[in-house]
Amino acid sequence: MQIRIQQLKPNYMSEEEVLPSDIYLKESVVFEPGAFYLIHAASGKGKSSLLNFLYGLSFQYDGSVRIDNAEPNPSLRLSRLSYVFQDLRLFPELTVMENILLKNQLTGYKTIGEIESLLDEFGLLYKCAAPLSTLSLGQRQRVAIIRALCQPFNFLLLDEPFSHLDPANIEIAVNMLAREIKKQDAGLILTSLERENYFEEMSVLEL
Amino acid sequence: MLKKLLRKSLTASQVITYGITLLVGVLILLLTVQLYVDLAPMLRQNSSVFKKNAVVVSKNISVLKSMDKGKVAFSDKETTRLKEQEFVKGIAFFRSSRFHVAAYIEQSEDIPLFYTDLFFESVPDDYLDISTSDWKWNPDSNFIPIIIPEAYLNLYNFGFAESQNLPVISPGLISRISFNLKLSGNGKTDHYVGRIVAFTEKINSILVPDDFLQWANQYYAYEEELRPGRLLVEFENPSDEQIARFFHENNYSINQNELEMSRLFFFFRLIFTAFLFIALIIVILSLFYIILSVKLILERKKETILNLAAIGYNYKQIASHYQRLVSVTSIVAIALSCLASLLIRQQHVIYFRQFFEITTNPAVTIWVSIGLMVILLSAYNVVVRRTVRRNTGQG
Repeated sequence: MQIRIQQLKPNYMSEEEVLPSDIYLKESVVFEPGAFYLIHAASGKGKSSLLNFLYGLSFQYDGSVRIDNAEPNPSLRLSRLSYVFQDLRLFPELTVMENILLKNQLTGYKTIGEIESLLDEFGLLYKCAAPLSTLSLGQRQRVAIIRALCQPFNFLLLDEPFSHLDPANIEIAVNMLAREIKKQDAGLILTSLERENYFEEMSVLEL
Repeated sequence: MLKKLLRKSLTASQVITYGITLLVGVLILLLTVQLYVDLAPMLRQNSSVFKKNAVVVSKNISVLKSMDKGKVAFSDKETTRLKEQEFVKGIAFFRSSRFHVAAYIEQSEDIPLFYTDLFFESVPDDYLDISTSDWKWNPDSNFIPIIIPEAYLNLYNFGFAESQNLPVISPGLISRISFNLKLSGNGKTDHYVGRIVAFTEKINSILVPDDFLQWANQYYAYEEELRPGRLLVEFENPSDEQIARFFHENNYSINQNELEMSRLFFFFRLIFTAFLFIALIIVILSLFYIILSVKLILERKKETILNLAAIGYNYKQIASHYQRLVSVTSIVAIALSCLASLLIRQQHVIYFRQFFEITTNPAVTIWVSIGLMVILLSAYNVVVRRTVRRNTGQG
């Protein structure tokens, strides 16, 4: 799957606000299948907006976004694109396991055992039946990562996924993600405030 | 999980309130419609010697009019206007005899000597529902068939005969008695034989065949033709309430019995419409109530719905959660109303059968129920789906 953007600019930002970068207002930017991208920018530059445009959650942009020559649409969310949202979008009234199963029910991609072993990897298995509202932000971030892995995808979108994780947990997460992405032969687009190469062979794009 | 996430949405009390309101509304609606269908044919019925749907119309006679006979007659303008009314199918004029008529019987054992001046009137045969072969005038014979009001016979039997100690006469007997008629005018006098061949309740006149009177008027008449004072009016539907209104407004007199049904039917329809209106209001309000409740809940759950859509849930999957419960409640409520309506109808049919025949069937109740189900369910489900779709940003 190839993602191509052309002359992209959030339509709620003025030309002055959007300084020409590696992405916005570029004639053409292509995210090649299977490749890893780090999108680096300071706060407020429109990182989340960019991922929302690619995921089809927002259409407030000028220019074009093409996924395999088609507009982004909701049907991609089950098999082509997976997304770890910056605001996580978990459901506090459900337990940890229910939050993950809510997604897995749609795709049937993982078994309960596989999910449990992923939780165990993060040291969260004991929280399995706990309501999500009792978890810390860092713990929730890890739940959101596991949930995003419960589906087939060609590209994994990660919006500041490690912002509340300590270095040890970041390492666990990076290993888990690298393994799962490799298994799926997929690509990755990660946004971050820091210019840090979490994965090998990451292209860095400045926003 | 989806259930857990979206539950506590509609409370039981909201669903029950909706169900009961809908049940009551639909029950009233079904009973009203079924009752109307059952009773309407009975009220429309109209039997008479005269052609169905035809009545005699005349002007009311007042003191002033009694001075001037012309005012009692219908002018051309008036008859044209009457003809133009949409409830009028056709009108016919009464033809009056314009010569001298006398009836007499020579003395016999049973019947006393009898001599009286008479008049004749006629109406087109189309307007009479008389099948007897006697009702025919043959120019070669001197026999004239006559129809008289039944009231005349009653007047004789129960009034005159009683007081004068005379024998009573049955309709069958009188039909076998011939009497003599003397017609004179225009300098001619001829004798004929007359016989009463039928009785009518509808019209106070002595009727002879129209073709005979037409001929006789030409033959014996010595006066110009008068304007018709009485008209026969045939209606499209005698229970049309416009009829009573029109005749009242124009101060025309019409046989009251004829309008009795029309009035009854009018009030029946008025009550029916009122009930139908109330029932529809209840049904519509119940639908509004449940739609409003669901819309409020969807608004409260907006973020949850948005997040569900973000992780890949289709708006239809989310909406179906809100569609199912209310749809099932609607179907159960309408089905119960239908059943109750059929049971109640069974009872009222038993009651009504004591008085008259009921030939209609309860199919209308079932069809109206099905129709209501389709309309209510589509309205509700379309609104819910559209709202959820908007909330998920997938619209």
